[in-house]
Amino acid sequence: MIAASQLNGFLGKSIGQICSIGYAAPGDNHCAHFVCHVLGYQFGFTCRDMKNGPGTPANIRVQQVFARCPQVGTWASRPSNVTGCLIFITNASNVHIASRTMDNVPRKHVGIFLDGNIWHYSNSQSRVVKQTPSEFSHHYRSPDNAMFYGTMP
Amino acid sequence: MRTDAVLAGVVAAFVLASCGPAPVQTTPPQAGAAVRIRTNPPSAKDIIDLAIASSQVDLSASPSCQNVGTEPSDRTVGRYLAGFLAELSKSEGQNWIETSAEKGRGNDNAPIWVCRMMIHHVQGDDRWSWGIRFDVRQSDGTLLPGSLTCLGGG
Repeated sequence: MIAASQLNGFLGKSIGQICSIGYAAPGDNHCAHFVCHVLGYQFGFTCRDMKNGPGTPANIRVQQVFARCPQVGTWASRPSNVTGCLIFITNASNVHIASRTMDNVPRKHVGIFLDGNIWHYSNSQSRVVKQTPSEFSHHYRSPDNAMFYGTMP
Repeated sequence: MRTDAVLAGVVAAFVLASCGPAPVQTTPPQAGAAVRIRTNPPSAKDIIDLAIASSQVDLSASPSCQNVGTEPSDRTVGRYLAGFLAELSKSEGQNWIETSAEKGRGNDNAPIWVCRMMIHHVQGDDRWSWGIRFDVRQSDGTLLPGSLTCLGGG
């Protein structure tokens, strides 16, 4: 399990400072890209599929990360002993908990939840930020702000 | 009528309307003829034309295209791209289509154009870009079968 001190080390950094591959297009969504570099998830479609570069690639698709979580559910149903996990926000209709799948809709976002805080990549600010779940719930307007948890792959 | 059927109709209309003096004609892949670019290097219009002509390609053609549709029932490149193009129907935010063609080498070391078409949307934290990449043989301007990749993240 990653530590909060490690995550704090990413605060304020742009994706260009995190991705050695060099995939850092400012108009793109780097939320899963950040999470997967931090946690070392190399499965599925990676930043190297977008741009050829040196170093270790990381997955960049939220729906592929969600599908790899061993256990998923609504944020409200998160077991109390799950103090570190992934947190997703999107329209509830895009999430299929029974099949552990998420549709590839435009508005979906992911961050890392640990001990009450969420570290995620703010695409509008082009940097890593830390928020409470309450603050994170405003990332998208309703109805695209339903939150879900997923235990780490 | 399903959207991909409409898209196929649009492609057919493009083909019928393209009987000008240009030496190269663009035809849809289902017609059995090779799809070709009209200019070398391919223009933005060529790249978008090839993307439209690829609308009936099944998403199972590439692992990169697995589950990229905005709906689980999406099965073709046309439905995939239509799902994101439909998101641009609102006037909010910035929307644009980006195309590029870079020189590359095919599996047989023959010169190719590596073509991309990306659909972009930016509105605060609601930002994404999804699209496709495919290879075009430089010698005859034909799209290389099996070269399609679905691009995008987030």
